[in-house]
Amino acid sequence: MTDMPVTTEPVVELTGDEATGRSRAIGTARFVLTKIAGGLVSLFLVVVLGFFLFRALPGNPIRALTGDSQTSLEQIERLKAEWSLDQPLLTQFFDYLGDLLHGDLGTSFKYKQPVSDLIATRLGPTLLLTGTALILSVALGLWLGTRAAWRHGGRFDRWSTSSALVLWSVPTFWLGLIMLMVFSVGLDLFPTAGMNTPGGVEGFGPAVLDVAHHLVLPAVTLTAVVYAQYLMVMRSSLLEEMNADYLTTARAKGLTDDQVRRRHAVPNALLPTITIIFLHTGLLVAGAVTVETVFTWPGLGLLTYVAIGFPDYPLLQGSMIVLASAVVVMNVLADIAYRFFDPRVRRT
Amino acid sequence: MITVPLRRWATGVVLVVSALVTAPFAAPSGTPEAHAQEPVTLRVAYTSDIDTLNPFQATLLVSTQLGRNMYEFLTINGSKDSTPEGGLAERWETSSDNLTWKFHIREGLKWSDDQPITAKDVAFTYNLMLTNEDAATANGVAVANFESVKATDDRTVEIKTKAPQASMLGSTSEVPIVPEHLWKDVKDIKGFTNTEKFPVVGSGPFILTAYQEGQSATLEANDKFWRGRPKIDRLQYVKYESTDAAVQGLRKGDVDLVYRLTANQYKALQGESTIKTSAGNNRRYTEIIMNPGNPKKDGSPFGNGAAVLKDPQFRQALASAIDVQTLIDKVFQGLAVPATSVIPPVFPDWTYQPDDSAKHGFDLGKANSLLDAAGYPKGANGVRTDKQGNPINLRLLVTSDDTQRQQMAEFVKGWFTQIGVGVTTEFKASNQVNDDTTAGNFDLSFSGWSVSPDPDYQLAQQTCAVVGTDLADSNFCDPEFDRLYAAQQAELDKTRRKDLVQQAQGILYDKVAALVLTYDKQLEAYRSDRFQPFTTQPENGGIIANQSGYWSYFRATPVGAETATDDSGGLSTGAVIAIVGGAAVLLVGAVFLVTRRRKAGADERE
Repeated sequence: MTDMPVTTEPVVELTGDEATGRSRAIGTARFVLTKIAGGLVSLFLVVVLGFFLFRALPGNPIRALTGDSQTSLEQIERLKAEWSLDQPLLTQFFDYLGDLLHGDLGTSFKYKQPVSDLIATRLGPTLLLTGTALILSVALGLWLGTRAAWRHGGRFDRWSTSSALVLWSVPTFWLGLIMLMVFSVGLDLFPTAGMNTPGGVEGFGPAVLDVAHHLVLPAVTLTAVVYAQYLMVMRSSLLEEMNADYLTTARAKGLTDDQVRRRHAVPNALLPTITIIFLHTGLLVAGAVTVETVFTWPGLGLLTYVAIGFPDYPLLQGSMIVLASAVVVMNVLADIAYRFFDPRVRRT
Repeated sequence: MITVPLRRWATGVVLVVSALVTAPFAAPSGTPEAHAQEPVTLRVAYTSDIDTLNPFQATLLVSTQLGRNMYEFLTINGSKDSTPEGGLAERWETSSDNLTWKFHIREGLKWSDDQPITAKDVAFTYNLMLTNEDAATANGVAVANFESVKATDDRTVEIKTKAPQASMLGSTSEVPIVPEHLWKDVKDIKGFTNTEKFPVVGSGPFILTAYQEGQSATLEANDKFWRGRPKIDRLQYVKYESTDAAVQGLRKGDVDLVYRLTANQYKALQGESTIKTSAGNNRRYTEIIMNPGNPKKDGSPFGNGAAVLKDPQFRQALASAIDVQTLIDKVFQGLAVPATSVIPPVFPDWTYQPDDSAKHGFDLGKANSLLDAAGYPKGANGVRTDKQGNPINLRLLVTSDDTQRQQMAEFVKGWFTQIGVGVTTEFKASNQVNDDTTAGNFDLSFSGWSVSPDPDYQLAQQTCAVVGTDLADSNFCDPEFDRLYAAQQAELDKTRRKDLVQQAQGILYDKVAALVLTYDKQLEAYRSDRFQPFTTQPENGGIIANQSGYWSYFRATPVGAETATDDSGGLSTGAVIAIVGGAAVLLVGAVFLVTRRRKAGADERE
């Protein structure tokens, strides 16, 4: 599990024992503003780093563009000038910053379309796939994790934990292909590629069903690969609560085992899980390149991946900003949410 | 405490969102009209990208392939052996000074919107490319030598060239002709995607009726196509990101044709009863290029190639030390043919065959004696030394994501070691390999090119003028070759031009401009239960996809009289069961959560 909560360090504020509601509010406001400012600084660094790092990538976009067709030296020079690649790097950078401040992400070298249009068309499909997978994997992970921890060491625990870890460990590409071979080719239940039937289907209802039909295999594959992390975090944090005194107290009050678990243990064990859910929500837009590749899901991750191979600088820079913004925003939200979910953090 | 609202809320979200959220992605149907019966659809899986469908801007292969099906060209490369034949033009003649070409347009041609196709459309297209830089992005090279183009009447186009141009028909076979009555209103050629309005008016065998970026392009048969309507109703290009998945799509029947298979995928599909495989002779070759240290056009040095590579005798020794047949058998699994030069045999007019006496052949003894005679003595450790007395060790660049090239590198290294030439293999990402070869930072590197039907462009890549540029193939430079290249460029008599092209390639071969290894095959597979064998290009043992023309798709014939394809739009019973099943699982989960909550009851307050 590489995704350990990173925002759990207590936030130090200078309130004494007799912290009043007002000073708490001021503290909260300052906390929020600090976090937002930090996020903006991170974003700016991403813009700067992204620009120079991508230009350090091997590859020549002009060669990539003209590779399949006949071209001439004049043509190459013309493209260089059109894409400002003949300008000094710093000039290119400040031009780019200027455009960015006007909300212009530039035009893709490869697709010859505005980067913002390209990203916009890919954002929806990405969120549909990763969002569905997130909801499924969180629901599955939390439920299985809770059950496994409550009866830890039992058959259910052994089975659910080990199968989750096996799925977590298998190569995604391989699992995807197996899913394709079994459920698509073998059982003839699902299509092999894309988000729609090529050319589309008639009528709104059938079209919605069509997308849902295409969504099943990639979403299930993605869920299968990632739900283990929610299961394991939920399981371990619940295990930590298992011997807490307040559970004994709750039992002594006559609550059923089920009630103790759901009213007392789970809420307290939920915090680390909430943190990773927020962090992963930020990564949602990055999509899942491997799953998108196997199932030809037209997502943003895939677009970015293809852009690296070109390399399509404007598209890379644009998608980098979108991906980084999502992570930064969700991190800030996680920090803030954490304060509200956990009274201990708020009162420190 | 958040547990209660969170759980209920989450359950609700799962159900509502999964129902609603897919709605915005529902694709509108591209073909509203109802067919009496299901249309016969040929679905082609493509794995590389479409950049744009604007024919003036599209440079990537799949895009230009779509262009060939959407638009007719003035001339077109024939299916038999790619020799140019009439497209929109039925005949043509040249003036006595070889500078003016007159093309006569066929009578009664019509765009898909019923407007007549005239010489004015042709002149408009070429003139747009000559006057608007953005319109020259894709095919500017084809018109670079054009002085002027005008329509002298509705059925005659007159092209004046700056210098005599033997490759004229090669050029006119590269440029899609667009309808003037629609394109004259396009103000911003660069920003125009040509998918603004469907159907896209064209003149080819098919009309583009729908396009979903990154997913599929749908084309319908064109009733107005001058050769007649295609036998299939619909042609679809369906995107697959991986050929592994595309192979599964073929086995399931989601697609009918898959190309660019690996040898392993190809062999695995050979046993399937409903699938036919094809290893078509392609217009690609694989080679090892060398850095012979020729200066760039401006006289500046090109990179840091080993000095020994300047010596033609040394290069000849290397050519005799490679056993191409072993490479084909062991690395290509037999699916390639030995190569001689830069024009593959799919262009029989131009390909080169050396005399038996001139052949390099695989002969390590001969290679060793060539090196002895050239003055590269073997040291005590078996490694030869160069003229300065330093041991010879050549860097060989290999693309790290290409297993075939990695295997070949091992073989080549072994053979070269046996003739006393040390080899250090350097595995790098393909972009890095390209950067290094363009900068000249290499001795040997694997490379390869796809060749156009007219030999001019491929020969131009071997001239002194392009050394050290993105256009260079071998970075070779030889004044006699350049003279022959220029001569063939201006030689309009085909027999004499053939002779010049042979002589030019003879120089490349004798002086070993590059170690040309194999002519590659394109491995393809299609559903033989749905389609009869395709027209390949060349007709004898050629390729189905990626033709320089529309032959395979235009002439595609379904098996039997009845339609061969199943549902193209609606959901199969299995699909409905699958969706209902998925929803049921979700529902059961939700109900379970809710009932668990209920069971807890309202009286459980602490």
